Amino acid sequence: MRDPLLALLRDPAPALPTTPRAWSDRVAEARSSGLLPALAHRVQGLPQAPQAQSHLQACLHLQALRVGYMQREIQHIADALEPLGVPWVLLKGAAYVALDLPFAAHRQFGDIDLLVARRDLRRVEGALMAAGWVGDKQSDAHDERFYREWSHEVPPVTHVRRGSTVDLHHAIAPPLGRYPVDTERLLATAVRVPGFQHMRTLQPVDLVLHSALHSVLSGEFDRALRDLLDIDALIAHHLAEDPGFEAQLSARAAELGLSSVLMQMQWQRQAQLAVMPSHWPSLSAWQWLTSRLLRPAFTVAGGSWHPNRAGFWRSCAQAGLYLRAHRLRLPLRLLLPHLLHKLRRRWRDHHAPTEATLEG
Amino acid sequence: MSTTLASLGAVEAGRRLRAEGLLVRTGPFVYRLRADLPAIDAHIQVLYGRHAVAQADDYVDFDVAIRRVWRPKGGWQLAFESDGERPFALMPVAHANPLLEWAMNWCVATQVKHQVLIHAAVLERSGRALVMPAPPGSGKSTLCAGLMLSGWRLLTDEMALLTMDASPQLLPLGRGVSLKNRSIEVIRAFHPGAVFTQVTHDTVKGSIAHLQPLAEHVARLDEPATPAWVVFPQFIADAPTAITPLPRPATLLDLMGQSFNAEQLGLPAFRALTAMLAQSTCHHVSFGSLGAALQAIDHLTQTQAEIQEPAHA
Repeated sequence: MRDPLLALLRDPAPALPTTPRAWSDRVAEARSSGLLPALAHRVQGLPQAPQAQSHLQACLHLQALRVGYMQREIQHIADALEPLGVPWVLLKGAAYVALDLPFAAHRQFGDIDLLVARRDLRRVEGALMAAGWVGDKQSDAHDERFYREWSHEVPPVTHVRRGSTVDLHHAIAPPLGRYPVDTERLLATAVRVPGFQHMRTLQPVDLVLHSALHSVLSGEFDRALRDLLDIDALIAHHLAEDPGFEAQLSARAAELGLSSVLMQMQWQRQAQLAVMPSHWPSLSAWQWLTSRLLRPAFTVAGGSWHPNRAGFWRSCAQAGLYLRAHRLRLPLRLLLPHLLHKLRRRWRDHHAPTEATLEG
Repeated sequence: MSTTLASLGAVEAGRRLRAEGLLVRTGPFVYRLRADLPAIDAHIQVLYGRHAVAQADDYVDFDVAIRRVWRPKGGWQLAFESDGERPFALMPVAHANPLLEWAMNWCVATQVKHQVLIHAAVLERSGRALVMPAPPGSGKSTLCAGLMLSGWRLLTDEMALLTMDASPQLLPLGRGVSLKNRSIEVIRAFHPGAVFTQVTHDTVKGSIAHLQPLAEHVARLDEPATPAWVVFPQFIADAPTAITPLPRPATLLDLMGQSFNAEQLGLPAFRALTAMLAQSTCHHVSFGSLGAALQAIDHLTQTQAEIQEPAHA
């Protein structure tokens, strides 16, 4: 493995940095890749440069607080939503915490993602607002339309007092995009979280597929390695209990039309993490060919994310996959006007340092 | 003895700034600085000339790059980049110097989680530290500059670093003192020998210049100090001097309010702050001029020293 951070995360002892400067490079790479808590956990107890140790120890302390914070926020959301009597599903990080999965303790969290049926969307939004989660007043008519009609989520809401942000989804992928997954099929098999009436998480195979789909559709590579490690940890965790897990995973991917997404992730596990999947998804000849052609791009674009590790081919691969992700989320007839609007707005606020992105 | 930036030579320092980065050690931290602007070359020589340059394989805490970027509407502007991220809006090329200082502050404020950070100036005399937390506009930096030029050792002008252990210590950060608008003239008049960086006009905070830290203070950047006095300064034009003792519980809340990370760090930060206050006296000082403020601080710290001495005996 040529990715020093990844090597350190997979098997720390032989990959320990030899100079303080190398330690600072690994810490910076982990910070940019959303893997600082994971690094801090992996090298705990091993010899470290003292400065790295102070940064990493502090990170472990904060991480313990953040996990507790996430648990409390989940409880707050439950207080708001349970009385509605409709099923609501925690996604990604929040789900890993609710399920108390071992790797969740060292995972860096972002916003809290929820999934509900489209017909329940208004009521859930209302209940969240009543409990203090309010939207950003700056979103314009275009944003509203983008979120309501084309996207798979509504504009994010932030709690007025505690500052937590909730992304409310009615689907796990844009319904007009390349991978429209029927929310009803996910809700039908979602698992009730013990201790709650209506709180759910996706069933284990769907947790993996959602993470894979999210990684491919986001097109942003600063979290690609974290996503891949999440997927690998999820598969390893369930494989330990059920040797047929990867076969079920392939079958479910075929059902939901996500076989090529799963294939790409399995290839990446093999290429980057040196893990040999026990079962491969079955693809049509055409699907296999297109996925196989994209495989080198995913391999080059993946791995830890830091300017130290940028290069010409890597940037090309990342830009290509970023554009592809946009195409997968919206058909061109909607994508082009959307990007034009974003560009126009960016031109107007020319000093804003952000890229024109398609959120979600 | 480690190499100082000045002994490296301006040419080599400039080359490193434009290539692999100049590794400057200020207090407990090493910055990797990169910029391709003559104004920044001069700024760094003034403020960090006596600071140590770290070795190529030393630990680097923070990455700071100031880059020129071109925008159709704004022309050439400056972007601050850290580990590939651009946390600030773009700024005019003329504001390079304050941008660099703000960028360096941002790194500490957002990435340091192993010490309590307080928005405060810290100065030391005979091993005992004076902590002056204050919101902008209170005259804190002017007073800090005045104290530094009258015998107090400067630890930091803007960010106090408090260790989180049973007997917390204040660590020197050793950067310049940021002075705004009229304060620049006040300090020039107070001490004609004071060395400043070039004044930058029309920033969001008005005109800004940085006062060079004294060489003998930079030489002692590895010496922490024990907290002894907490003073909230407040400048009110032409007002008479007023010294008001503050109760410790209220001071704790005010310190938490001026801290960048205490709330986030939770219990260990709370413990460090209470331990600091347990060994400090707390006052609010309002003053109408620099002279009056210096007198008040002198009075407070002298009398406190006298009161404390019998207790130690």
